Amino acid sequence: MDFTLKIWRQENAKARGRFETYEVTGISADCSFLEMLDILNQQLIDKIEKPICFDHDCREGICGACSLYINGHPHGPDTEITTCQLHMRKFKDGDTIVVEPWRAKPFPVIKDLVVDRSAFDQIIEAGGFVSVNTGGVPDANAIPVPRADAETAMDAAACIGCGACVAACKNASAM
Amino acid sequence: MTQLNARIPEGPLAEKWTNYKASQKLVNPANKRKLDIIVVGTGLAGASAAASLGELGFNVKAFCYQDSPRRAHSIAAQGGINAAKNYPNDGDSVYRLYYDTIKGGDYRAREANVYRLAEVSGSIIDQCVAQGVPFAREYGGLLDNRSFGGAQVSRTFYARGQTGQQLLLGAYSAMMRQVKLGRVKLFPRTEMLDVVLIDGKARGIVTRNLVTGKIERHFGHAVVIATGGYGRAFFLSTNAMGSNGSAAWQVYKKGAYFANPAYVQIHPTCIPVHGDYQSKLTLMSESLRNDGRIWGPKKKEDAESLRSERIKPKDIAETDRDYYLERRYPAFGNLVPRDVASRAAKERCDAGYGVGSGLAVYLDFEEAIGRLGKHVIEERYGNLFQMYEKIVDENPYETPMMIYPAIHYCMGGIWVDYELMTNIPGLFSIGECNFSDHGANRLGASALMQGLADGYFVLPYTIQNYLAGEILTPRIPVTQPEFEESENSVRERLNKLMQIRGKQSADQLHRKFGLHLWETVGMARNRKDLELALNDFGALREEFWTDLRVTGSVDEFNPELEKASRVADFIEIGELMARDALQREESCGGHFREEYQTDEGEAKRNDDEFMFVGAWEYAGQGKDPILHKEALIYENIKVQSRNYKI
Repeated sequence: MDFTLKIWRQENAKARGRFETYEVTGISADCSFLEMLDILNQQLIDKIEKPICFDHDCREGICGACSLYINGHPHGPDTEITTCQLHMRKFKDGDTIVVEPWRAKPFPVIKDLVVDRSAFDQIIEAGGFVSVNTGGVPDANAIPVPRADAETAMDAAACIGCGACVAACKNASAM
Repeated sequence: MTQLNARIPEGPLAEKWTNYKASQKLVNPANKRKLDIIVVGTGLAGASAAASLGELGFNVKAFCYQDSPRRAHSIAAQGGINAAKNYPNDGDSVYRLYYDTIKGGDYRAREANVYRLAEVSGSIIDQCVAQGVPFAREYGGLLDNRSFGGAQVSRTFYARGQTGQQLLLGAYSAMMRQVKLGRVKLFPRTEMLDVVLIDGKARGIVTRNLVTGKIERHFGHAVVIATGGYGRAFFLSTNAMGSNGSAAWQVYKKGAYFANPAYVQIHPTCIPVHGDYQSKLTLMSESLRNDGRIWGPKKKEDAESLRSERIKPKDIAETDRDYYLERRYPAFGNLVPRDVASRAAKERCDAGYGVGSGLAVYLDFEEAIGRLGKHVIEERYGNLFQMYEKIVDENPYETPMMIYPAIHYCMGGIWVDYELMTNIPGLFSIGECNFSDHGANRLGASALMQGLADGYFVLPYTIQNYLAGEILTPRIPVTQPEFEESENSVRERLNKLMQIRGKQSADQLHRKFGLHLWETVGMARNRKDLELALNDFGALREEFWTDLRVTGSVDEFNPELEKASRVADFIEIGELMARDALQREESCGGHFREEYQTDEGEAKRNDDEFMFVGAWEYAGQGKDPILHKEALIYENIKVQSRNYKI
């Protein structure tokens, strides 16, 4: 598959950003979005140009590091997944794809597509914990928790802290 | 060659930890405030240690390369965490967990450490529940368990397929509570590049701020390395892209011994490699083997037709399917330990029975869906099935998953004694980063257990035994010459990487090296290949240092430089792995030497000559490292051949 990419480039937090246009060709439909960016970055390195910076780590949809606003949607056109799990089969051959960083004031750009999400750590720091110290706690089965409550808790706890909700919200609020 | 002393406490096995705690030195609250501890890495081990040490009143500095400590790769652990709670009343006990772990590790783990691990395992579950970790529960409201490989009891606690995430959020939030209280200072997007020794003791680290490129110095009365494993040396692995062995490697180069580097775990159920553009493999949880059945076609012609997609797996009649794990290991079936399952898959594929690209077998849920109903399978593994479908574009409820082994975990790591201290005073290592508890093979759901045992319940005690002797040591200014020297060497190395100005990117060189490492120091090893590999690795190291291209500069956000620095270390780690694999003339756990196998193709140990921990000492650049041995003594378990057949 061939794609035209319009990607946000920004040297650092203070620099003025701009869209740059790149072409990638011969991309496999089974390639993930980030693997496609890896291929583009290798092309740039081959030309002794600076590769595009983006956050990523586990590449299996759980660490929450990857971000990217793709064609106006956080994590792109597929549902219930992160950018690292988005595959090129979700696009059409010849598509033009616009790639931006998370767009939200609490997430200032560090470089290119990398943003500072430390605001999320501040939320946890402010009270996102249970106030127990290590040790001296009761047996794990001392207090039964209704299964439905545990499941509801797990639904909420499954949040990966990627910041897509903030990027998607017009008020830049977290869910 | 010297014999290493692990300083294991005297007394019967079951009383060692109790006796140790009763007689160890402690630090009083007023003195704790005067002591600084550096914790590098914020995964389960690092975050739980930083939180616990902060609560005790020490000044902690916690470092991670990620933008937030919550993203450490512990978060990706799916299946669960073991604990000898015996809630299901199925015969579990501390002894049995200890026994299973020693046996699973193929009698190459240290008895006293493993027993302590089993002993504190129950407290971990209590702690996590108190933190609010939403473990799976029965309808009655009590905690649910499932079974994992290498055990005949159900002792695994889990939170859907995201157990690592939930445990890490527990440890992370406990640590953030200490951040707010000012007892833990957090340094995200910061990478440790060197450890600083003063008069033979660990006294600090030198780091690079990954946003600004600034090199910084940090003092600590003790330094704790909790930076995980070096599995990404192989390039393709289930580890995160940033996971690296560099902190461990830097301390090795400063004199800490590196133990059993050849012991790496190859996880049997990963999504097979599908393209040369891939940089990472995805794991499918071992928990799937509770209900999924692994098979390949019985007939080679069927395998061929499946590979060329002329037929589909469901076209293969039940009688033409080879459930090879159930056939070879009737007692444990699909739940044999990982090393056994991985080798069996490789054996099938090498013999021509592989499907997909030829390097894959099936993991089939048809029987389980028929037995339990689709909704039960969906409840148990829904997120894993979804992940599989997103990546592979096939629906595993309708067609079996395709799987193949991939590098997943490192049993080997920094050598530590019973106190989790390295041979360098004041330098500790916890979690996957150390070598201590899993021997030659780790059982499923035991990594989370060990990481949290070390961080919550072992290190906060043992580190005090050391720090009690440091209460009169004032904070050492980072202007000391040792810090200066360390910073200079870090700068010199980074500049050297920048100035090569060759043609190949760090990824290209890493891929080339990693795939070669996989071929020679992977699932099956032999003397000839290892000797050749050692030669080749030298050439690849040379190629790296003459043909690397790093764009950008040192003084900026520069992922290419980060990668280059890590790949330089991976190449050296790979060399040590090959050396260790060559030295160990036996097969045990994840280390399989083709020369040493039974007639049935099972690993054949040589207890007379190799029942020891092999700990390597750095001897300087260009010099052969020195092997030290720690004898393994089993007083409480009968050493025998692992048998998962009957």
